[in-house]
Amino acid sequence: MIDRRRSRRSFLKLAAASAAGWWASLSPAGFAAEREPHRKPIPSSGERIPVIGMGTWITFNVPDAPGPMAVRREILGRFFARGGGMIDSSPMYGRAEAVVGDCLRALDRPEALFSATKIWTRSTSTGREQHADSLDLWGAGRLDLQQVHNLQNWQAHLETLRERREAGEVRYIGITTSHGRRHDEMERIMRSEDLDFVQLTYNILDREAEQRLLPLATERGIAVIANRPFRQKALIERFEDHPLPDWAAEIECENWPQFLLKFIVSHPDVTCAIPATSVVAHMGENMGALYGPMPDAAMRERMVAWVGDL
Amino acid sequence: MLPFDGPTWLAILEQYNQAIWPLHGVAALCVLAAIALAFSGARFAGHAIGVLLGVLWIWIGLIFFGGSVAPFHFAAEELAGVFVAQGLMMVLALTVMGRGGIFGWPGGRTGVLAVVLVVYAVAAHPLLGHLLTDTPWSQLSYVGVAPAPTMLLTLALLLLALPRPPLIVAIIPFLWALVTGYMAAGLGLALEYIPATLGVAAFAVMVVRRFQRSEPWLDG
Repeated sequence: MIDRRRSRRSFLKLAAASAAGWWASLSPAGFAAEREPHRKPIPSSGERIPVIGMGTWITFNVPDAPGPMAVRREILGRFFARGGGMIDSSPMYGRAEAVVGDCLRALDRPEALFSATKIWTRSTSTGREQHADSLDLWGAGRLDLQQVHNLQNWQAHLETLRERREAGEVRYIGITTSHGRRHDEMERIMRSEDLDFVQLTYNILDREAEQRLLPLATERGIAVIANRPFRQKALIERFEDHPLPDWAAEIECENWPQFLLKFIVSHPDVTCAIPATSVVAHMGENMGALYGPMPDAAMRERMVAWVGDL
Repeated sequence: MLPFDGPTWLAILEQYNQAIWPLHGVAALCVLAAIALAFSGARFAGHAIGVLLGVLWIWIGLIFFGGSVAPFHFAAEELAGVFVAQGLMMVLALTVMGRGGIFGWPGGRTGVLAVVLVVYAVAAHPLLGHLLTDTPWSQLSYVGVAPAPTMLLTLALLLLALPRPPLIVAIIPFLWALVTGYMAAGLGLALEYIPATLGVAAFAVMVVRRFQRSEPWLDG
């Protein structure tokens, strides 16, 4: 009798668990709760952040109109529901910081947010103003990461950023470049300055950073953000007519964005990648790269060879 | 480097058009007056055209780029400065310096090209935009208040300057024709290739007219 009751209870528990699992797998929030996203540590602190973040160049530079704003709120909602953390922006990106700030307020400022922005000006005083504006636009008393955009006037701006970090307005500081430009200067700064982050262009076709900058980042204990993971969307457009290799299933890649992103963030020296999108469904695809097995060194070589043959 | 996509550019145009409405009518009157003067051959046409087109370029610089585009584009202030500079040059070159000479029907293929450009800038550009791309009227570019059709109208009227067009005031419109082509590619707005191509063609004709004594293939 007792055994029968026990087995009925076990069956009910199992059924309830299955139903809950099925329900969780349907909802984006449930997905994030069910599977742990890949995270990597920021070397200077040990804090671990999700390896897929989000860029805002072009995609969040939209007017304050109901249609575009609703889409951006949905994109950000999907980003956080699927385990995202870092959002990267800049005063150079037009209204992007303001739009991100509005969306974050609408989403009650998710705890997972890792706010990253930049100072983009040659003027030291304007740089200070931009930092103050960013605090205001993001609606935060503190930014997680403030960077010097494209190394402009980096000596003076790094001084400003260190001051602001001392004042508790910034947690981490860094420098950025893109399109493979000014790598020599970036290398000199990485060797001479105390940085938490560098941001540079790294993707399956633009791998120059592998030679010096990525190993140097690890050597110096600097986190690396990879920008232009899809060369804007050129890589997706270039590969989308080709099927993924069968072996992509081994690393749970269902589409090209996941394939390209997993290649980037599986590099041992890369901390996270920041794809941008203005399409809600694409955000879902991108965030898929945050889960499942990552390619090892041998598979990374196969990935490079595969796209090289396309 | 364009910091926004096609839909955002159209949204900027929409906000701008709604903000300045009904000043499109005033701009249209200025445009029609400039066209009539250019074809009339009146003695004072050059001066009047210089002032009318100059004011329109300055307006686009200050209000469109300095106001509507500025929140979205990091180089909006510089673009505003370029348009204001072009407006001032139009006024100075065609009035104070009298570089415009006489305006009138040049005949030949140059005349035909000028007419095509005028018709396209004034009517065909918005009409094709609406009919071929289904773009709402509120998101279209109109001559006198938006850069591409105003660039084209300027080059068209300069083709009517006799004996030769003043190249100095055609350089910025030519550069804007190139920018228009770049925007067509970057924003995925295929129709913008038309004003870009027409603008480059008009400038090429002007250069030929400026540096050749006779151009039978143009006058044929």
